[in-house]
Amino acid sequence: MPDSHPIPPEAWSALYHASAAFHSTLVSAKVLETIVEHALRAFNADGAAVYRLDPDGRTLVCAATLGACSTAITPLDDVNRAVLSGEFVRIKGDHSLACAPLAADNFIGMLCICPQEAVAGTDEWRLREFADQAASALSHALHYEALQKSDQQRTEFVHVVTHELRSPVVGAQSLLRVLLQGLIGELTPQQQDILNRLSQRMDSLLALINDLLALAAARTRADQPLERLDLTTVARESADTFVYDAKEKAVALNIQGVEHHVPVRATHQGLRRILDNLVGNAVKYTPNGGNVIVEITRKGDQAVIQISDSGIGIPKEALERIGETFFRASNAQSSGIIGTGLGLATVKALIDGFDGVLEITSEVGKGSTFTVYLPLNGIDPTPSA
Amino acid sequence: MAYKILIIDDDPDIALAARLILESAGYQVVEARSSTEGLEAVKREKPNLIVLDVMMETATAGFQTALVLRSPEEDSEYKDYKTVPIIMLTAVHETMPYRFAPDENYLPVDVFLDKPVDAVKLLPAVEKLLTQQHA
Repeated sequence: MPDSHPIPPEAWSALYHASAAFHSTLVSAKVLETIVEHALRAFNADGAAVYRLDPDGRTLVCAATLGACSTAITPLDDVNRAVLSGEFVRIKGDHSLACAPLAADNFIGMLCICPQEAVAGTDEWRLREFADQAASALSHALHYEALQKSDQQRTEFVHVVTHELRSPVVGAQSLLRVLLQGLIGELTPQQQDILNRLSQRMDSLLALINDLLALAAARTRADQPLERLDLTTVARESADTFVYDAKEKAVALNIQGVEHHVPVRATHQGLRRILDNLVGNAVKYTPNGGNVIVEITRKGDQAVIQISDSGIGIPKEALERIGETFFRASNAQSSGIIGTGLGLATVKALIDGFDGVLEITSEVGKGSTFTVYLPLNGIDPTPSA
Repeated sequence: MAYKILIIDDDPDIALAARLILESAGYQVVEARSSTEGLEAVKREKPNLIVLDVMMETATAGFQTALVLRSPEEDSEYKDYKTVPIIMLTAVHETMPYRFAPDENYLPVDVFLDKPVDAVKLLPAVEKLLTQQHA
C-alpha cells in the first residue's frame, strides 16, 4: 500500500464488495460481466474492458466491455507487450487509459479502464488490487468449467463406447443364437459344438464389455444426481432377479428386514448394481443346496445390507485385494465360474460415491459375508406394511 | 393371413436375426433402417406389431418414434396406428444414465427386450401382445 496516498474507507468497501461479487459465481461469462460493471463504477470510468490471453499465449482478445472510451481500448502492441510482462500500463494525454494485468497462477489477461481523470498513485494501487481479485475469481471459474467439461466428455465417451463396443457383439450373438436354435436348419453335432463355443466366447466378451462400462460409469457418475431411495424396495427387486438362478441350483435365497422403508441417497442404477453384483456373486459362488441370506437393518445413522452365503469363501490372503480391478481369488479362478474381476471393483467405486463402506468377512469352504453401510437419508415417517 | 411385423433397426445383423426368428414362427416381416423410414413404413405397410430399436439416428430415436406413433393428439397423422403394439429392443438397459422402464406417460411401448435378440424371449412376447390386441 502506498504510504503517501492513504486509502479512503470507501475504496476498501468498494473493493470488498467487488471481490464478493466476482466470487459469487463460477460461470466465467458472469464473472467477466461483473468485473467490467464494478470497474466502471469503482473508478468512475467512461469504459471498462477485460482482455483474455488466447490459448496461443501471444494475443489478447476482448472478452467483455462496458461503456465507451474515447481512447479505443485495443490491445495495442506496446500495451500488449507491457501487460504481458506484468507491468501496469498507463497512457496519459487528452484521454486516459489504464490497464492492470490479470494474473492468478498464470497471466490470464488484463483489465483496462478509461477513467475520466488520469490514474495515478492510490488509484493505480486500487486498480491492481481490483485486478488481483478479478483474476482470482476468473481463474476459479475457468478451472471449474474445465473440470465440468472434462467430466462431461468422460460421460459422453462412456455412452459412445457403450453403443459402439456392444453393438457388433450383440449383433453377432443374435445371429449365432438363430443358428444354434436351429431356426434355419438343423446343425451337425460338430457344428453345434463349434457354434456353442463361439456363443460362450461372445457371452464372456459381452460380460467384460458390460463390466468395464459399469466400472467406468461408476467412476464417472457426473450426470446422475443422487436421489432418495428405499433400500428395501431395490433389494427386493434385485433378489427377485436371482430367484430363478438360485432355484436352478437348489440354493435357498432369503431376504429379511424388508418390512420397513430404509431411505438412502444413491442412484437407482448404482444401488441396483451394488446389490445385483453382491447377490449375484453369492448365488454364483454357493454350491448346490447352499443358502444365501440378504438382510437389511439399521445401525445408528447407517443403513446396513448384509449378504451372507454358504459358498466357496475367499482365501485370507486374497481378502485385502478384493475390489482391485481384474483381481479374482485363486479359488474363484479355478472354480470354472465365469467372472471378469471387475464386479467388486465397480461395487467399491459405487459405494464410495454414495459415502458408504464395504466390509467383507470370509472363511474358505464355509462362506462369505459382504456388509454395506450407507448413510440413512432421514427416517421415513411411514413405514410400509 | 399371417400377422405382419415391422422391424425398425439400423443394425442389419440384429434386423436379420429378428427377421429369421419371426419368419420361423410364420410371421410376415418388413424392415426399416431408421426411425424416419420406420414411420413411412408404418403408414405403407400397416403392421400388426412393431419391433423398435432405441439408438438409431440419435441415442433416443426409438423413443421419439414411439412417442410420435402414440401421440394423444386427435389430429396426429399416426392416429390410426396408436394401438399397434411396440416391442423395444435395447442394448442400453443398464448402461445409460437414466433407467429405462415402461411408463405409460413417458415411454409408450409395451415391452422392453434386452439385446442380443433371442427367440426364447422374442416369440412369447410377440405372441402375447398379438393375442391381447386381437382378442
